[in-house]
Amino acid sequence: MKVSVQTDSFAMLKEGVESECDRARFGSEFCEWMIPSLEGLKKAYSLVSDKGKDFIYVTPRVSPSNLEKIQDQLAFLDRQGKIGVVINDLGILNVLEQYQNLKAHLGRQLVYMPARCPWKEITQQPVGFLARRQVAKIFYQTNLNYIPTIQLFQKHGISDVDVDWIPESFSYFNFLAKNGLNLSIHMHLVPIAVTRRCHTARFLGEKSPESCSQPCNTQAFLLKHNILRLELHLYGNAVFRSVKPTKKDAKKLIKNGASEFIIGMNPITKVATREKVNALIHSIQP
Amino acid sequence: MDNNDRELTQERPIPKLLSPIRSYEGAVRVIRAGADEIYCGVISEIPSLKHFVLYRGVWCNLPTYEELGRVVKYAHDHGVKVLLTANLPFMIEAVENEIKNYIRACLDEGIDALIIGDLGVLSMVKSMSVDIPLYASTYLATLNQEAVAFLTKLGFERVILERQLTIDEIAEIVQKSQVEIEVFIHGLGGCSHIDVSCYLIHAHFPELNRVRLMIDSSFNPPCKLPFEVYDTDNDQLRSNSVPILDAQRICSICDLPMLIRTGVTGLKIEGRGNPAVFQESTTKLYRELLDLLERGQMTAYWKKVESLKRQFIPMHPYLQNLHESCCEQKRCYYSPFFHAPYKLPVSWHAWTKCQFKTLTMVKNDARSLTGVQE
Repeated sequence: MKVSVQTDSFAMLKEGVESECDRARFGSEFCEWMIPSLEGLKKAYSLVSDKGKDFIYVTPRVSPSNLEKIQDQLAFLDRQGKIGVVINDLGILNVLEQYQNLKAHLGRQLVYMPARCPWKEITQQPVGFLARRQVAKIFYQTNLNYIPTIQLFQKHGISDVDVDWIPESFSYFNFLAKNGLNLSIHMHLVPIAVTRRCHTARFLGEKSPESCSQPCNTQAFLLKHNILRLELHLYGNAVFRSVKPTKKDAKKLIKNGASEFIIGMNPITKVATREKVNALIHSIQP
Repeated sequence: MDNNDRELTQERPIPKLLSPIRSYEGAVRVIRAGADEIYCGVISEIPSLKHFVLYRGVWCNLPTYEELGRVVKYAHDHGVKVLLTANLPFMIEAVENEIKNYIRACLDEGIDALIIGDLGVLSMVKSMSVDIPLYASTYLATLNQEAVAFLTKLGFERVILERQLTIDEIAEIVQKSQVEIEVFIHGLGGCSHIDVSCYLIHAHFPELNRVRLMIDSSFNPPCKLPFEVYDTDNDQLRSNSVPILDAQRICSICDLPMLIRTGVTGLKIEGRGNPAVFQESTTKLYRELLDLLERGQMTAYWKKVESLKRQFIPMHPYLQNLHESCCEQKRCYYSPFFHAPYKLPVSWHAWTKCQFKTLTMVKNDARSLTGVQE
């Protein structure tokens, strides 16, 4: 079982690589305006490889202008040898086929998991036992719980997949692992909505994405709806709900074929130092 | 600007206008209003998905295959294509056979194309060896030309782009793509989030419904609701009641010349779940504007747009007081990213009036669903 840290901040990456993690993931998962510069990527890559750890580059969904930026970065990474690239955009998957050394990881935005929805009540409607069971069965699976989908992605070079820490879905992850996919599990935050019309930027009065001061580097918000009994986290252009990983769940995940746990270093998880990363690693080790 | 627009719209053909339907009556109405193509689903016929309300409820679809058959016949008699939304965001073995049967039954009724939102569904349809054009749904979140190229390689003949692109980005994608490109132009809400990455449900189940009714007696999706906003750092309350997730866009009547210039093939109105009166009046409105552009009557087009913005439009319950509900808040489909949000959609008076009128029309809609004269 490997443990990775994931961050889009160079400062946090510096801390993360000093921890007991095996790999470091760097890059923006959700916001294309947060994609690091080529220089920033080079710096991050050498920081991680100097420590003798695996480097994985994380990319978001991108529009045409940022696609060019990513292409330059992929060309650089390809020259460095075998490197993993997390893709959340079918366009980047298409581009990646040109590069022999880069290994595509299917990102969370290309893995559809109905159970990310914050309302489990969907599975508890008053519709009769069998219907309810059928709803739950669909609710907790992913779009990869279907062999032709796995085969299609494998044909395009995918062998690693990112999924979320949703305990009711763990038993269905086994199917993915059995069909040749390496599973990486994000430990704390489940993404439930992503936008290009960034909520944080609008809330803080940013004028345009190009001139955005990127307040999400240091700031995140907790959104509460008391009547709905709902607590969400707003981090940049993505909305999350949080989950609490336990040792018992970790054990179950390993049993179901998980090969990597990912610790997110960001203002919501408040995991910003090597000590906190280490404490987390110890807390989930079975 | 007028001259430019005239030249550029004459360079490009006028895109097709696509309208949503959920009933035979709706189909009749939108076709009469000028839709070039219509799209619909009959997903309520799939038992396993009947109670799976994550995204759209059964009311967004035609009730039976027979009704689809009637819709197809009426549409084909009027030279209009019928597209079937088989755009589930995912496919699993538990529903595979039912979806296959669903698609086969719809093909038997004579539909003209399938809109597909998942690569698993695509693989399944290909394994069925059906000879029908395949269109890539907005669920595939296509944001760039490389994604279009990828989908083209997989066999899609048309790609519906993600809603959140700018006009310049759309133009670049169209220019570099080999297949037809379609974009959304109008909706009641216009999604705040990238379609397939949003798990805040639109549909209703009893528990959530009850809570929503307690809040504002409307059926707003969760992204429209006000939230308390706290700093994660120090748990301090930043704002008491802000619809912080509400980035919805409504309309693109002003952007039609620009959209035509991009070279898109189709302009799509969203809202399969909306009443036929919305589907009809929106289609009529855009048909009228596109016809003016096709004839090169730019002055008349801008005059019409200006009047639409200023007037209280009685024929269109959802566009009343457009200036306040949309223009002032920059809720245009293709306005810059960070518009000024957090206002009530319209003034209280206009809103109440609009709600009442809508309710009456929806009731009439429901009544007329049973017996429609062709």
